[in-house]
Amino acid sequence: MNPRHLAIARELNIFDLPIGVYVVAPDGNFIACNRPVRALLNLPLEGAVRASIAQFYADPKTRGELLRKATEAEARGAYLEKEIVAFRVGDRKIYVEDYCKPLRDPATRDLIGYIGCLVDVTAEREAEKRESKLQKRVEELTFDIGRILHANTGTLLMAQQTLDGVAEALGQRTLKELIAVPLEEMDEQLIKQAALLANTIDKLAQATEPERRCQALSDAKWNALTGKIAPLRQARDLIPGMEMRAPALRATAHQITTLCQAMTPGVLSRELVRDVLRAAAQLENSACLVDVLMTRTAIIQMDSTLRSLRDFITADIRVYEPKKVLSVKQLTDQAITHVAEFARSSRVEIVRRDRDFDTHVEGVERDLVRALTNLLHNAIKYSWRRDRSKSPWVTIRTYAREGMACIEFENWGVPIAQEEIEQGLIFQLGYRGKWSKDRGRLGTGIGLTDAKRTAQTHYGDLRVVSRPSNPGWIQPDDPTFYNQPFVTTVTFCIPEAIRR
Amino acid sequence: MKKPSVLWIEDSARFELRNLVAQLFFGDRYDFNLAEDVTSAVNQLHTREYDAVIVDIRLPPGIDPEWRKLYQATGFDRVHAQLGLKLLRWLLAKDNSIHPAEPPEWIKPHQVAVFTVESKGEIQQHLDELGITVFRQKSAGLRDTILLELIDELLAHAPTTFVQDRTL
Repeated sequence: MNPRHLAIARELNIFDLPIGVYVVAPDGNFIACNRPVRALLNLPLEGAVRASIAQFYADPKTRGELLRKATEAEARGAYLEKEIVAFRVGDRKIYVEDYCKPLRDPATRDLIGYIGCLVDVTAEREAEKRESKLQKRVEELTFDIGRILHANTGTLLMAQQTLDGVAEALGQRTLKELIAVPLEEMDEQLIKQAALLANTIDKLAQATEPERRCQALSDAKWNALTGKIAPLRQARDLIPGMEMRAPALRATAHQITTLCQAMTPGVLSRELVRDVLRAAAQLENSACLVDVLMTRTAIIQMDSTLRSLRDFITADIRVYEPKKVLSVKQLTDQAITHVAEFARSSRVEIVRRDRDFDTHVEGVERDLVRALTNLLHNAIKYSWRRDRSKSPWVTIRTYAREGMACIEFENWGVPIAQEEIEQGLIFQLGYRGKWSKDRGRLGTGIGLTDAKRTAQTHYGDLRVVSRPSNPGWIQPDDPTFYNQPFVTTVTFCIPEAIRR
Repeated sequence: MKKPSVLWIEDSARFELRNLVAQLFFGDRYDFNLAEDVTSAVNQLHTREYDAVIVDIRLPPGIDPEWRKLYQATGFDRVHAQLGLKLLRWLLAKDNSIHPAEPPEWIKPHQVAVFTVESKGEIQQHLDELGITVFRQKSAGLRDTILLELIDELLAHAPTTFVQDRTL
């Protein structure tokens, strides 16, 4: 470093600054630079620097552009600041924030170099790039999920309608009539039909001489046929739960039909074989009907889940919907309409305790209806049947209290654990309640999260209470505590609209 | 002849996968048993020996406090808890850090199949470590005889020969 340059550097005392400072000649050769710049550019930490800043620019054209900007800034009485520059140091690309101004001879005003600061912003820059890339992916994903879910909703509708047709054909009644029959009743019917089928096989076996059996069917097949008698008679005890009974009986009835069709014609009593075939067809038909109705309910439940998921995911990319003054009764009515089919197929009644009450709230209609629909859907989904003579029901109450409009959904059935409420777990996105999988219920863990958010964005809140329907019957430390029915009340409260 | 005993550890057996078990309950080929959570599975595995055990990966814990603690630690989430894998590690690798109780001695990797929604790639390392070779992924389009196929594959590896008569 020549003495004049060194004098300038010393005069400016740049070596002690805790930020990267450099002085370069007009051609870019370093006159001086402190330790942070040396470390940044991988230069010797001590001694003379025989390098030019120009060699570090990732794009060589950048330097000319920066010097032009620095000169323009000088003319305005300012200096170049926060200019992000890409450098290449060895194999590594780094980003620096450059602050720079021309250095001039005080006497002649001739340009003698440039002085500036360099701040390493590589980490921030990479994080920004990652964030921007991620943001783009989220936007794409949101759009795609919206489209996929929309397409799947169409497929589910198709599946549901196909099942409706199949159910009507199997049941020889309208769907409305079929849905009105409790599944337990259908199950009883299946057990009777299974016993009847067992009797027809038994009768065929009793009436047939062993040598004729051998002519009609191989030993293995005959044993397979008669081997069905006992399990068919014990269907209730053999298979735990009616959900698995229907497909098991269907498969068995089908196997029996196949065995009968394999018999050599004319060997066994035609009438008795026909009785077996008829009883097997009837059982297969009824079991299929039960299976179809259960699958239909699952599809309707899935459809509603997908709709609310789609609505939730695409909430940020939808056209802005302004707030309006809305009738609570009408909002509740809309929510009921949305889940009516699901309630029917689940055989759950919706009971309103607010026939004459109405008040108004101010809010985004779509969001409020979605939140109420989700809560009602949950209440239906998690309801148990209380007795054989009456369908399960969900109660809706609406009322105003201390300036808040409240919509309360109450159901009897699946518990929510106290710690899940206290720790706010049930409001976490994607969280599925400990007992929410009870009896095959589907869900996404979005309903309560979305409803709470919606209540809060409308300056309200969501309250959840879940307690045993018979308090004190089973103690909380008993392992079966959560096997008993709970009454769960979810209350959505937002401020009443001020009447103008 | 003694029928091969089978235990399926699967919480969706009763509903979503009910058609897969249809073939098993009334068939006279197997002594079929079902466990819908880890606690029930462990109880059944302690009570008797099975010739084939089919395990799901995403399982609820049931009422046992130790399994519930593991489940709770992952935020009550079956997907992240992967209790099925933990159960297998406890059973086959005899890893007492998972559960303090002693696992049953009789169970060996050749008696175990994994039937889960996870792809093989996702859990291959665990399967290799545990010596489990029989695996099927749950996906749409599976035949309703998939469970029978899995059981047959396990029994084919068994030292005892079972009669493989699938005729009706």
